[in-house]
Amino acid sequence: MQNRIAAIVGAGTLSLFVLLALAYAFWRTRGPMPTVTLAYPQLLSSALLYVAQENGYFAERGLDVRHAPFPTGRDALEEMLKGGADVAVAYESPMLGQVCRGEDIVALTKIHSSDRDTGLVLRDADVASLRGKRVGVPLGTNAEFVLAQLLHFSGLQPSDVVIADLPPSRVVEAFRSGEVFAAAVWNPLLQEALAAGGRGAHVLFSDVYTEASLLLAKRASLSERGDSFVRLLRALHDAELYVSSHPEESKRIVAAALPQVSLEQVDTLWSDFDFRLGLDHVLVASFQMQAEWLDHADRGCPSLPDVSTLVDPSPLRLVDAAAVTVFQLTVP
Amino acid sequence: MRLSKKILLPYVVQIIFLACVSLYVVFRFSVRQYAFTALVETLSRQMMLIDEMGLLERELQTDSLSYVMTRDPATLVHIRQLQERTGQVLSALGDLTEAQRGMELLDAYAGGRAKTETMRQRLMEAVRKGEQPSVNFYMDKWLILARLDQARIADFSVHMNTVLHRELEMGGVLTEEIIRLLLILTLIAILFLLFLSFYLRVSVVRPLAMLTERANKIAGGQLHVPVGFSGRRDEIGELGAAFADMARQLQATYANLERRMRQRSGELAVSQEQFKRAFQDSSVGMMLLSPAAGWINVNRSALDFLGYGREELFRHEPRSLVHEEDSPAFIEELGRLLSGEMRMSQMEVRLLHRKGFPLWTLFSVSVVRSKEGKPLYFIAQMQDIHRRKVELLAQSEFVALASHQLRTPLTALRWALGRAVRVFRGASADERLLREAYKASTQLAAIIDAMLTISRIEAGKVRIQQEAVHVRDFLYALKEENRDEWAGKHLTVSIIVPPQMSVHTDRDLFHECVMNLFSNAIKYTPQGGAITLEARREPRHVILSVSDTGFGIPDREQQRVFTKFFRGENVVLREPNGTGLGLYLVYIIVRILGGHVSFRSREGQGTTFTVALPEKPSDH
Repeated sequence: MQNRIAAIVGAGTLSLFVLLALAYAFWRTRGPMPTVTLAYPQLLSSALLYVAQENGYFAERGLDVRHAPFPTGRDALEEMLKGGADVAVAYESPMLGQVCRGEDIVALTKIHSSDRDTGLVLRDADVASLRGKRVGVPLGTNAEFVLAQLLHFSGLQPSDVVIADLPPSRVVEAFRSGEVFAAAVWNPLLQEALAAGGRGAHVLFSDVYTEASLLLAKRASLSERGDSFVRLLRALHDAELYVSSHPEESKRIVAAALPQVSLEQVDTLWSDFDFRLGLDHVLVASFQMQAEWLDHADRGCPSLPDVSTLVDPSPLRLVDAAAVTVFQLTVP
Repeated sequence: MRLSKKILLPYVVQIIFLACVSLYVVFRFSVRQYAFTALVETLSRQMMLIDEMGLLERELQTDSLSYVMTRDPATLVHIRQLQERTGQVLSALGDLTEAQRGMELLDAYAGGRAKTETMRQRLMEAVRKGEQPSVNFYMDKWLILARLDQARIADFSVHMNTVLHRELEMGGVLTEEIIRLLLILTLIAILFLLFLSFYLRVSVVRPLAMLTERANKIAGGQLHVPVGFSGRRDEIGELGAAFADMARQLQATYANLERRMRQRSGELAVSQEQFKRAFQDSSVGMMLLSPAAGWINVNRSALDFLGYGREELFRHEPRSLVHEEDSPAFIEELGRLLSGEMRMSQMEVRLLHRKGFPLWTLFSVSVVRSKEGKPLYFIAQMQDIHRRKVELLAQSEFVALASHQLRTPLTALRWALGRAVRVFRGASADERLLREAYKASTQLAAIIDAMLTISRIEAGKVRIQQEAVHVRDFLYALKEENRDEWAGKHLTVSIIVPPQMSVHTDRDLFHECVMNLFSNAIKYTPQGGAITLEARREPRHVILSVSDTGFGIPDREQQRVFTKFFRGENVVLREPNGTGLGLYLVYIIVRILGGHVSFRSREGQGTTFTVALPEKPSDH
């Protein structure tokens, strides 16, 4: 009997030591969470960021994310290039603009895509009637690219109209007041401008352009921050699944994160957005179109870049291989 | 838990486990293999179509078609053919694509192609109309749309390629998984069997071996070997407990048996001593003979009777002491005793005295048998009847002589009386007296004949002459011989006999025997009755029966039927002329012919006498 008690006590003590050793090893390997500063536009298109933050996916993936919101992706990208952020969210146009200026940045993933987000709102006329008239647009954004496409397919050149560079916050007011005859901008400002334009105002979208907001990083930072970026992508992938399975809850989260947008507006516009991660050939084709446009518009792009090198699918492939359908970079 | 369940349960669990895992492996392998093969075929087909689509899209993108739009009908036709072909390929792809992601990509491509087609038609229209500005705008848009189509088909291609490779990898993983499963299963089965083997050895085999060893010790006489398994409640425990009980009972039985054996040995010694004294001191001569009729023992009275000393007597065979005329019957009687045909035999035989003269002896013999029925020895008693037998023979000789001497004057007397009856016919008073005297002389003659025959038989002066007697002829002759008697009483006589049946016997004695029975039947059956003579064969015997519908024999008199001068009370007044010797004569005739006679009778209904005679001479 005494032998049995001694054996039980001995086994229990040994088990306790083993558990303590395992806990210590786990604590040593875990370490402090890496920090990533994320610059992004305060737009509906950034929904996955809000959901990931709200649901704690960043922390769950072992990442401490610091948020740097901006009115546009263009501004967010500039913040990253200035060193104020590790990653930025921006549309293709600002990205291509910076690439043309020689910045070495890559897209890690799309976080949304839409062909009914950015458009041209105008009064009682078609695009061809804009000749010689004042058109407002935030230059350096994809709104400028949309405007150029619509003008081109209507037989006009940008020089045929008077371009007014407006910050997004002024676009609605300028259109309402008649300061500009038409304006190119994204939602929800587009819908607000439409409402402000009164009777006869209408919106046109490009039928050959699908916009995408991209998670961008400096190519040089990939090697040293690659693990953090993968964690970031995993958290966004978690958010993607949540948005897909809980659309109503997701809308409420996004509406709560955007003070200037009501839940009703979010609900109205939600179906125009595809909140999925991905890197595909359509995106590369879009890069190609915008690069050609920049070159054609003589916007200071000395040489057309190889757009297929502007995406790096490696981190995303680790997170969701099916989301990567671009293969140019994988074949040497 | 019961041992049977203990043994059975692991096997059942293992069988269920193996069955489940095997089913799982087979199911998983077969289903996945089938699905995998089908999917790979579909994907391969799809990849071919995607490649074709990509080629078509690229052909549409070539500079010769895209930027140099002319009115050349051949160019327009070529573009249209390419578009139609891409439409066909798209349709085929739609049939093959099932995965959700793939379907979404294909839908996106299809939507893009619809736009491209619309734009192409506008472009063609502008080309046909020669509206050059519109041609430029439409051309640019068409080029962008076509480029997007190309990008979408490339996305679709990459996605399906990824799916295909993933499935191929899954196929390899599946195979590895199945091999791993089978290895684990085999390992588990081996471990389980090892455990089971050890378990059975400890739980069953070792206790049974221990029990066997102890049983062998007990069988060797070590009754106090400890047995039983304390603390076990299963079959082994029960077996041990039963074994312990058995050992205890065996010890008790053994002790009791020893005590009883000692007691019985004492009793047996006393009994043997008593038997020995009774045997030796008996005033009656006694012999113990072996089953082969050799000597075992003989007592003093027998030695005195035969005039021998013990050793001298034992030098002679027992059968050599029997008179040669009696020896065959003596041997035969012993044979019947041995075969179990009879339990005891009593016979009158002549034993030879040491000085050579015969001594009449009533020899009573029985067989002592073992429990299994095997004959152990004959035990015989010899009763000296020599004086009585000699006197009886002398008496019989006297009767025979007297009878013979009486017959001559009686014959003369009968003849004279018969003559006087015929002479004095008509003188009524004298005639009646003479007729009565004649009848009395006839009956007296019959009595004397019977007595003469009986005396001769009893004196042993009848020599049996065996011959084959045809029973059918014999009975019909007997019937004719007595026709006057049975016909005069209007009796019906029937004969039932197989056609070729015969019996080996003495014809005269047989006739005397059957004649007496038939005559009695005629005599004691009233007018108009029926008599049946029937013969049949039984194993080793011929059976002859005489049945009548006569007066029958009263129950109280049936035990005296075969004694001398027996006459039934119910027939004496009806038929006063009987001698009372007929049935006794039948009895002793059948005896010396080696058979036996019996009867069955009910007063007022009739009687059946049955005679059984040996079929063959050797059976006499």
